[in-house]
Amino acid sequence: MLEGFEEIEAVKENSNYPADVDTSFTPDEQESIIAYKRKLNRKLDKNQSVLKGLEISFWGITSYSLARFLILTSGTGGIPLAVSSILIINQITNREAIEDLINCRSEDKSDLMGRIIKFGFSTVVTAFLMWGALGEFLSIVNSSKDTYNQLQTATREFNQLPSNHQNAIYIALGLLGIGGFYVLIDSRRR
Amino acid sequence: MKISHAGLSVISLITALSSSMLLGQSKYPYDLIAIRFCPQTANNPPRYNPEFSQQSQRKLDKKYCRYEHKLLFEIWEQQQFSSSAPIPESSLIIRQIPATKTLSVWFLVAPVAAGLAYLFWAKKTEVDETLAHYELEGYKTQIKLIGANARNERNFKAQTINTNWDKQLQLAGFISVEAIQDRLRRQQEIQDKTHASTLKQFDNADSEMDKKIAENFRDKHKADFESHNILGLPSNEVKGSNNIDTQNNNSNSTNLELDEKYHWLYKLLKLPFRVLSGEQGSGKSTLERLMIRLLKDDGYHIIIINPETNPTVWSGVQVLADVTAINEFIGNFPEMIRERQQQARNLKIDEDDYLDYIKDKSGLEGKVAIYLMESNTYEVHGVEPDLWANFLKQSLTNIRKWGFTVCLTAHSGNQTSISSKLAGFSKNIDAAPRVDCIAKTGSDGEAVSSGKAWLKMKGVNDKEPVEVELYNYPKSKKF
Repeated sequence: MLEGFEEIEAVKENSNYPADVDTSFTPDEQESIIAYKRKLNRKLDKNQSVLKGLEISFWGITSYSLARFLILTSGTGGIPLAVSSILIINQITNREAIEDLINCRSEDKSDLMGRIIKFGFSTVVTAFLMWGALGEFLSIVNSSKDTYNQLQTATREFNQLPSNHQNAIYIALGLLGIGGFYVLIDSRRR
Repeated sequence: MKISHAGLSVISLITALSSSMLLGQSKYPYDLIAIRFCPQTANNPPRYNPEFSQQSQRKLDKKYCRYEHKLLFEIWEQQQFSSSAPIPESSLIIRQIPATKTLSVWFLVAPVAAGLAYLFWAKKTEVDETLAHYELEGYKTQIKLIGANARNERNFKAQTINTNWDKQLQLAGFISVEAIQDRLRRQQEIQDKTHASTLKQFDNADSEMDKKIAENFRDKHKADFESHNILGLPSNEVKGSNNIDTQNNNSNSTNLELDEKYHWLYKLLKLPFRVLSGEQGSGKSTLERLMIRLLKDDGYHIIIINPETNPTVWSGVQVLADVTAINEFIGNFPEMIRERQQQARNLKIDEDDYLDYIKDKSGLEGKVAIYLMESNTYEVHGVEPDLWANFLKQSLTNIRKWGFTVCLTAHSGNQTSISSKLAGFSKNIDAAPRVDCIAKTGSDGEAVSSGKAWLKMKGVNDKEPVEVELYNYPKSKKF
């Protein structure tokens, strides 16, 4: 305990950093100034967090709008482009977390978990964006393909004979074949 | 006009959201196609009766034609193209459903508006930070002003209360008006005295500073004058110099060049031993300094032996003022000569070429000139008489070829007085070459140099002395 105190004293003596506050304010006044400063800082911090939120919404709106624009102007040809643009923007917003996960060269490991959580959240948001921007179109494309196949089956069925007529022909042909076979064997025997 | 960045930011954000969620959206965004498969019956008249024909057609319609299939126009075309058996379009009823007209440009407006919202808010943040700084500083200033007012108020109140108390005390009869007045008078007196003494302190400090400035100016002029003399610049360039004779200093080199009329000095300096004599103030010291300068220019190491001088005022020369040092040096002197002789033998150098051998060496290794100043006081200061006599005897030999030269300064008169043990050798000193400086009486009765001297090459008793002119060398001991 005593050694600790001595060490502090030694540091005070050697260092030329001013340890005492050189001010004309009384302790009361200093306290009130510090409180005022804290109040101002709270306001500034709020500004910063709103700014952060605006940045995130900028990336979200951009990726959604870009994907919609590509779908509307290029149709099915725009799907790969739209998907990749959403994924690329997601990568931009998460570059720090991705770098940490891949390279592990972050200076402070303590925040790694927070970054992983952030990455998870933004991936969910990305999936939601993709669904919102492309989901409807993708389902329409799939159902259109099914509909076309149904139509094709219907026309093919219509052009064929009904299946009960076909079976009668097969039975008649079979009976005829058996009859012919019998005639052939019987004539050989004579 | 004050721009509200926050307002602009909100407007931009609303624009972004509405253009992407509202303006860009529409009910039927894609081109569709509606298809009904309506095959015609083959049971036509006249082969079949019309009633049967209509019946079978109704049957077909009921089975196929009531259903309308809707699909993307793009997919329809793609499939028709890629299928190996495309659906024959003759039996189909096709209806195009075009997309409702939308402006997909809104989807490009949205990101720009969102970016603007971000930038406006960033600007707002920046402005807020600056304002917060000023606000904090303003708050501090306010506190300072309030503090100052409070102090003044306290002082004022204290003074008022004290005055009131005095009044009350006087009314109650504890003190008299005279006592109060007396106290005030004494306070006033002390104030006046303090004021006067403070003014005096200021005057004192001013005069001290003035003195210092004047002294510095004087020293500067002195130094300027001396340096000009040494560097040999014309005297009219020296500011404030009193036209002191600085003749013959025309060369800018550090080596002093003398006129024709002073060339006797060079001859004198080539000798191993010479005596400077003369009355007080006759110019001996000036001549000494000139000779020191000339020998130093010639590469000599100068040793000054003078127990009465202050070594710190000399520079560029070696001064021996301490008796022990003097004893040690003059005691070693004969040994030094012998060492050099031995060196010449070892190196197989002719003794006449020894000077050439040491001409590039410096210090005590090279050429050495010894000045014996105030020599008649040596024994008084404790210089060993035996060593001193031996030194003089050695000096009178041909020490010049071993790189030594000695100059003895003495007052006029018999040279036996400089050393008690010199015995018969004092005659040799008297016979040595001598410069006898001539003094004259100055305007205020003091002895001053006449600027002339007798050069007696055969010593004191020279029958044909030559009158020579003396050079006025500056009074500097820096060489």
